[in-house]
Amino acid sequence: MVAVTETVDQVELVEKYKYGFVTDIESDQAPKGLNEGIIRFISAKKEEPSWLLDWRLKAYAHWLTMKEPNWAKVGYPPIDYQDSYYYSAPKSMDDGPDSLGDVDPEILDTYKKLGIPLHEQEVLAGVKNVAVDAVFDSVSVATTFKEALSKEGVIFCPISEAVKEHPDLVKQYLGSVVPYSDNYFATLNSAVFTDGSFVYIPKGVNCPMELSTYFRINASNTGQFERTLIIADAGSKVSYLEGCTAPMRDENQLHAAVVELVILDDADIKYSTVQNWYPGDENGVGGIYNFVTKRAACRGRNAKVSWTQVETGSAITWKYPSCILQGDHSVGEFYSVAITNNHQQADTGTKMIHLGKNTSSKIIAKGISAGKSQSTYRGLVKMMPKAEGSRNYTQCDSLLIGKECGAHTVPYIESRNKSAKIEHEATTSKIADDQLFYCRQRGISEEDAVALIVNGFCRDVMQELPMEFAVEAQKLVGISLEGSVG
Amino acid sequence: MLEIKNLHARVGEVEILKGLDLTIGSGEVHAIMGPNGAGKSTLSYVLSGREGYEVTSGTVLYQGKNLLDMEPEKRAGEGVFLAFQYPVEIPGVSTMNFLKASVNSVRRYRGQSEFDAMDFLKFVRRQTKVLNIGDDMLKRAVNVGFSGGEKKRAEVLQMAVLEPTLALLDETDSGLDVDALRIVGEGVTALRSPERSMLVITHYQRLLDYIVPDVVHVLADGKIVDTGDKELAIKLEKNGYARYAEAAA
Amino acid sequence: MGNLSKSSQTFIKQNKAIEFSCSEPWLEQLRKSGLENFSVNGLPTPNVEEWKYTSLKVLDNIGNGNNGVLDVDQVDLDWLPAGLETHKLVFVNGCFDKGLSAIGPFGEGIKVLSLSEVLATEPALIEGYLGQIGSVEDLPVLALNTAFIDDGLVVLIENAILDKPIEVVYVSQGSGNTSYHPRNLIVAKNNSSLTILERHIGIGDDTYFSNNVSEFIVDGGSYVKHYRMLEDGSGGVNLSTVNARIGKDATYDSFILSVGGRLSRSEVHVACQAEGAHTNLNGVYIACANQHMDHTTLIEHLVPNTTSNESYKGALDDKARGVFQGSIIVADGADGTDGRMSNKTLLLSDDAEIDAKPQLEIYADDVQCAHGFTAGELDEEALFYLRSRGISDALARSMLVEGFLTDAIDSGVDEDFRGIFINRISEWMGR
Repeated sequence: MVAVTETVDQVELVEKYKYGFVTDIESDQAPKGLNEGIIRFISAKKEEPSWLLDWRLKAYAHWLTMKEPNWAKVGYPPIDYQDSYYYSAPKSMDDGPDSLGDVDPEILDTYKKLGIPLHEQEVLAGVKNVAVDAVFDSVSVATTFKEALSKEGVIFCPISEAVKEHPDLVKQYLGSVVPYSDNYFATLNSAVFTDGSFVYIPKGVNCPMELSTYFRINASNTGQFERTLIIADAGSKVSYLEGCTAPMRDENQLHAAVVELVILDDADIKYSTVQNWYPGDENGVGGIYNFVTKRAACRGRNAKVSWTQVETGSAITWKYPSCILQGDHSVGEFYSVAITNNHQQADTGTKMIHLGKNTSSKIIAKGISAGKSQSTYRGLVKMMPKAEGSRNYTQCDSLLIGKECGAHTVPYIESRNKSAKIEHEATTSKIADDQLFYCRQRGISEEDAVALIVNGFCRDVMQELPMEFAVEAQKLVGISLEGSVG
Repeated sequence: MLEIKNLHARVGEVEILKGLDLTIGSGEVHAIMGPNGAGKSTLSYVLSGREGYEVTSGTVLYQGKNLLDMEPEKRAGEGVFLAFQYPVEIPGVSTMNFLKASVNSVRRYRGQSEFDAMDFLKFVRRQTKVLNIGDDMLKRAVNVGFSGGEKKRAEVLQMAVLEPTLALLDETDSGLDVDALRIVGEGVTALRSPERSMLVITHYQRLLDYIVPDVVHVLADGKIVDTGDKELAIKLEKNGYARYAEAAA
Repeated sequence: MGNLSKSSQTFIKQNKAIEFSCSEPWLEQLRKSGLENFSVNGLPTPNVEEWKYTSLKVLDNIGNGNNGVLDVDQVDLDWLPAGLETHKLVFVNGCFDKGLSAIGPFGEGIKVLSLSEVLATEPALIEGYLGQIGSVEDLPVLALNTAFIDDGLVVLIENAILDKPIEVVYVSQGSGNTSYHPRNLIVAKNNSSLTILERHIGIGDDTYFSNNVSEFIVDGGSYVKHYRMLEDGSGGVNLSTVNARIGKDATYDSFILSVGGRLSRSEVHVACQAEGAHTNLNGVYIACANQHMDHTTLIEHLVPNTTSNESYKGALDDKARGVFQGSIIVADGADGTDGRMSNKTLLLSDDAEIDAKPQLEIYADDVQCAHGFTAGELDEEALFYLRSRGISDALARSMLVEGFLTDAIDSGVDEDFRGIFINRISEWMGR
């Protein structure tokens, strides 16, 4: 067990990435490295049943046979999977806090600084209540409004708790959308995932408040491997928000999460992400490797899922939130803004797999590249033979700011049904000089003008975000592009 | 107020302004008329700081400060406003947001307090009524899909809310029918005040029926070649610019 | 070599056994580099990203016979309408047939002849050009062709305008699993202008493999119009690679109609290398039965102020499968690029399939690039409109399909040639 204490020594940088501070607490960590022993250690820490340990070990054995994928348009030095901690928990969590009063005040203070309300009486300005699950490194430290939600039958808790309290649900659905053998990073996650959120919305229930998980990486040399599972039973509805930040560090940290959504008849999940992991400094040193597998299975008739993501952080982003449209008349949507600056790299997009009749999907992807960054939209639209009368509409637009960046579009489109209709459009352009000059003539500084125009460019996506996120996301656009002009 | 001395400017290799002198006092309205290609729009872009317009010699002092050293937005903060001949379309950005960003930026520059959303709405509505601009136009993206008249009215609205001390109106009459011209002309005239100078750039005299100038200049081949009162404008309308073109050549 | 496919191994063995008539050192070196590069991985498999949607498994049992036997009476070589005169070169199973050809005379600055003739008489003429474009490291099919360079078409034109189009006909007959690898070289310099009409036609249903490669060097204000019509026999496998390099103010303008063959892949790589370079890549593909048609293009904008326009349209019936892969690359610094790409496909049957990958890869900021893609059935509203005017459902459908396809002919084909392409589409519609 190593006690880690660190201080922020790059105070001047905090202005640029205001979430870059480190919380000075004692952590409880597993030894560095990855082997069967570590997996058994994590499983034991979590007091897991044997079926879950077996599942983890199966994933680990499979992972050893796999190769890291190299098809994405991103480059990074080889990751040494043995040079990382796979479990890190605040020491004060050892006995598990029963109430907020038991949580280390340092951690509460962290979330306060991040603007995340963990006391139920605290609310985001002008917004109805939001229930929050706060994940700090490898463990969930607090989940709010659990009682209010349980009155409606809604389960919202850390997944490690769900394994104990709702084992049947977890066993039924875990790995049912993203199997343990799915891909290199998802398989690694299956072996070593530590915490994450679990949500179950019962039949016919419209979840009375927004649910949100706030992910925070704090410890150094630590990978974060959370796993989120959301099940929307027939006729239910939920809106779920996800936010992420990390301290500024010189090393690259791996975040390999898995999110599984299961949507049954007439149910509806709206999943929104504002991803603001530390992107590294302007020379490309440090930052999070954000290698994430997110997938939704619309299993029921009229099931609907909507992914909205604003990706501004991370050194490298590799994620393709996908929709398997299995139920007839099911609907999948993907709204994405990916902003890269300095040396950031993003390879992101979606997959829409149309299996059922009259399924429909919509993809709106906006990529903005600045500095020396590279941004790629990669997507798949697939109409299977039985996807009678299905529809897809895709619009992907790229905006380049500066001479040294790149913007790429790699869509795969496969149709095996004549009655399915696919429309795809893509454009690449830059901010027009006359637009910029017009704004500046009206007194708006060049940086503000760029932020304004870029926000206009992203509007179709931004308006899909819940109100409290939209405001934050718009500000982030400006912050992310700082230093990109002039 | 504004003092331009021996201004030379070029676009690429071509010299367009060739020693222009012009002084505008506080509260005065000057008109600049001239044939196509005389350098009228170049003057407005040089004064507002558009890239690609290179000043090779001469000075422009505005309220005692060197205007040519400033970034475009700083000039706006100082009170320079250009009503564009061709207002630019900005997809996805609502006019209302654009106005608010613009007004608050300028107010911040001037050390004034910024408006919150409610106060700003009230502030804008006072002006939109005069200019016959409906709320729906404010919701639309900046100039996107606007008719010629709507674009020019939106320009005058911006001028009203930004409260400039020097307004440059570049061919504000182009593309307007008589009714639209009257609305725009009256809108501009309503904004005349002892603290606000205006430079009205136009090819035709008709706009000057609505915005009556104190002084009229003729610009030909990059220089002011004649100066007079509003009678000069009427004479020009009758006789054309041929005489000046020959003189300049 | 152990893990290469059987056909790949056959090609390598046979290549080593051939004694080529022309053995100039530079040519030997070129062939050798082709063979060496082909030997690394052999024919591509769907594991290679660029070949994800097209499998060459149909070639598994191909041999390398090239007997040149042909029953000429079975093909109509005088198919062009009266008034459309051409210089005609006929290649039978890849070998130039002087007796069936009719070319010349040519004015100053123009040379049109077969590659075998050039190699026999004046190989120095093409030494600086042949094999200069396209990378044998990246394109295994080009590498294979390069290993077999022996015959094909050579056009050298400088400061001249060709009086009549050049008609190149490749006739194939698949007795004995024929395979051949013709190589064409077209060099147009100093404000030259020419039109080439290339026709691939097959006899019978046997398998054969035509692996043809064309190199185009279009320079200094020259203009090349390149028409291709792929009408291979039902057992024909046609891999057709075009590598074009476009210089200052020059244009390479191409149109392809793919209608025949068991499997075809037309791969076009165009590099815009000097200011003012422009390319149009247009095409129509119509497929039925179990035909597989692949159109893969790569346009590179390497310097400022070059433009490209690309449009492919197709109709797929029965169990046909269409593939469209289009890439536009804008290099660092290539400001002022304007690149447009469009692909539209009608699926006419429940078993037809289209797979597309329209890519943009952009490293310069002052550019305008766009691509559009659609796939689906006929427009219901248009169908209803026609039917409400008394036209039967079947006729209305065929009118709309034909209208959809001939629209592409109108924009991509000059007036003199429209008739031959439109007729071919009508024949297909009435099959």
